[in-house]
Amino acid sequence: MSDVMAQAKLNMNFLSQAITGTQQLRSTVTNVFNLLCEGVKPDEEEDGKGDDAETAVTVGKDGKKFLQRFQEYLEAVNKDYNEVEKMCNNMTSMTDLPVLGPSGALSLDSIADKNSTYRDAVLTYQWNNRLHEYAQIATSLMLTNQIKRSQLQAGAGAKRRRAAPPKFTNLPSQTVDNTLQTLSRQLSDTTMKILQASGDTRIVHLAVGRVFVVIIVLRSLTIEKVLVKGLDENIILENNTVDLFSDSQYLCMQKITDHAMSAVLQYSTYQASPPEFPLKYLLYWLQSYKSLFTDACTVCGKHLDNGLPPLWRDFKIPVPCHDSCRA
Amino acid sequence: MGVTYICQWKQPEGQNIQQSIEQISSCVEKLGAKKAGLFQVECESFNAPNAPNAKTLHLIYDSEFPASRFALFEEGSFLVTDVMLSAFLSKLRAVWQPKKGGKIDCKGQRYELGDFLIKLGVVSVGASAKGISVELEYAPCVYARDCWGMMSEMLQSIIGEQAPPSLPSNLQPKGTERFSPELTMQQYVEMFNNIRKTVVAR
Ligand SMILES: [Zn+2]
Repeated sequence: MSDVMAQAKLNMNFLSQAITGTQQLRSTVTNVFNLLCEGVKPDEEEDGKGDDAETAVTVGKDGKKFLQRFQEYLEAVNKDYNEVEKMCNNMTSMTDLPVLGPSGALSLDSIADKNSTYRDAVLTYQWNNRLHEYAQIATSLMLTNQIKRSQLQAGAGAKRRRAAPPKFTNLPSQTVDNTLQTLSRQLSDTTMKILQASGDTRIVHLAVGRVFVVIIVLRSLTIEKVLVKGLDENIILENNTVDLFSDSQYLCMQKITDHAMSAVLQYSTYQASPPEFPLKYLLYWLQSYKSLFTDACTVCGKHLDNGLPPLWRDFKIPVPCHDSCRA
Repeated sequence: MGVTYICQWKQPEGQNIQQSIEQISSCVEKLGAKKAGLFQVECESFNAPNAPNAKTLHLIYDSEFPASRFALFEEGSFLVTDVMLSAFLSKLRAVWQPKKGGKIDCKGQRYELGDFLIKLGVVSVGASAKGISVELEYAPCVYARDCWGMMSEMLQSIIGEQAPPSLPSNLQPKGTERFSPELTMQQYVEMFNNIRKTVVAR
């Protein structure tokens, strides 16, 4: 990569030389045209007189001097032209700089000259290259002085980093069903039924009071998804499957869905021993929403905040509170 | 379809309809509500002069339910049909005849605030404006008694003293029944009748 950059730098040098050469060529060509414009006869007299003093009398009025100058100028043009041609041959194909990709086109934009995007891009690229080089050197140095914290091989270590698989996926189906039944009996004003079950996965339908329904996707007893919907919203699709993906049309239900997902995360971190604990906590927490439409905020004492009821329930003490009134 | 409350705004002395609408809509916008299109409710009344015991029939179109028509009999029966109902009624011209001056409508601006829907409308008979309607709907809840606290708080901040002090009986039919479009249409017919009466009284 870096030698490509060097190549580009070299090219830039050639280019600037070529530009100077071209300017030189243009000025000599201009000289030729100026001479031709001035013409032979009328000026020859004056010129002739002026030049007579310097040069010899050899130049007469027959335009010999004119021809001589014309030839000089043409030779200069020829010389400059050869120079430019040489520069051009020196330059390798500069147009498709592979490293810069489409950003190379930035250099062609005249407006970009003012805001120096191209220059910055090139500089950034150089720095990036350097960083890469240093990193490579650092890696190679560190590899030679490895500090081993465990006996594990590098590959096994990488695998270990992944999230630990849920612990209780292997609970017998009967146990899960029994646990769900027990839990559903402990809830008040909340009914729970299993809509669909296939293998380890169950879709649970929870009706909380007269407020909303919740679809919970369980893998064994691990909560995978929670979706809160209004009482009059469809949860069964036309093809008789449960709609797990469309959000509620109501703003308050969407926000409660968000809160519920954070509740799931929160309760899943409890390293409590019985496997049903996260689900149990979540169900109790959801149950506290049965008073969503009737209870006022415990902080400000009002029902509404920006058109929304008190949507927030603390994960430990689930009392109604506006999102904006949370401490 | 959530719980809906409809009432007629009683204009203070010396305020015309335009001024009242401006006053209420500025109030609604101050609460943070966003404009969400227009709405229209039309009501045409029919009676059956040849059948002595027949009650008045109201045929209602509501832009919130563009594919439906509602038929409401004065004594309480309620029907939801598709758009063909009016064509069907015109076939029954021999029995059901449109009441004279029986067409009344209500048009205006819709607002949304959270899950609330607020509609401010001008009620007019023919071409002349007769009054102002205020409609408040709370969509996520289907039990009027449950969300009345919230609705009442919202009504307080929109129409102030004109908000009802407690849950109106016409929002709460029998026991704990769910709210239905029928209750909305009944409120509209009731309001339209009241406006017609006051117009006649003047
Ligand atoms: Zn609050």
